[in-house]
Amino acid sequence: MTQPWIRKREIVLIAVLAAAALTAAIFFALPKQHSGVTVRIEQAGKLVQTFDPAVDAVYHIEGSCGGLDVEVKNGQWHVINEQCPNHICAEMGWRTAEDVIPVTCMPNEIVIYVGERE
Amino acid sequence: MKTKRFVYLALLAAMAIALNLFESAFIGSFAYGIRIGLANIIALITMRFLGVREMLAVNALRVIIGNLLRGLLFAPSFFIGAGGVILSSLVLVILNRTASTVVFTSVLSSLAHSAGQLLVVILLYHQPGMAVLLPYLMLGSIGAGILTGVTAALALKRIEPLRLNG
Repeated sequence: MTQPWIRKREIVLIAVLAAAALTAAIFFALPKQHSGVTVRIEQAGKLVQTFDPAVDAVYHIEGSCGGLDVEVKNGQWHVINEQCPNHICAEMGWRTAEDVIPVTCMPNEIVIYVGERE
Repeated sequence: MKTKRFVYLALLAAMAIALNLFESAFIGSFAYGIRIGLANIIALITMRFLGVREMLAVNALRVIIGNLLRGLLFAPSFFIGAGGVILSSLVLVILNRTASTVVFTSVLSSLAHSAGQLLVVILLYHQPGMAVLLPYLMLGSIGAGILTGVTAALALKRIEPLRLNG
């Protein structure tokens, strides 16, 4: 068997594949500046806050029962530090742009829902 | 000669299963589920040493018996592994008809293995978003493919005197 382990043109083809994969990997790993999704927070029917789920942050929202915090992380958001008797809003857990049911805290009259999409 | 061929086939199948189990127990997977795929060394050796049909037999036995021994037969991991092996075997069959070298064959079969596994994961769990892992898996597969290809080439050189004449 006199076949070489690998030929030059095969090395070139593998290098092209590796370069394409590396480019795609770097592209996916880059932090996204904006997601094109805007999440709206309303309190007592009034828009009090909007946020981009691509930007990690914690927003404090005043409410009729003491308010709550909305933590945004890795494109998801959830309610924390809620001042309400039932804690249903916190129990709804992490929400994403694909979720259609808004996070609702009735005692605080706060509704968090996906608004605009680009 | 037929008996000798069967003995070689049995030995290679046993080695593929043993390497598969060894890798699962002691090496496991790296980030994004990337594995070296030590059993692919045996698939390459079998194809070059005995033939395509024997390679298919070794690959099938390694998936079925390997998962059976781990108690995972027909578990999701079985189907994911089977998806990878089917696609990589297909690539091996195609490349065997060309004059591709061992290392190049190994890299492409490793890439096909990852693609097959990812395809099954996407279909099984209805998660098309998992496709974003493809570039990372490709990078891992190229590295793993070179490693297994070089190992197979070294082994083939050493076992050349054992080659069957009939």
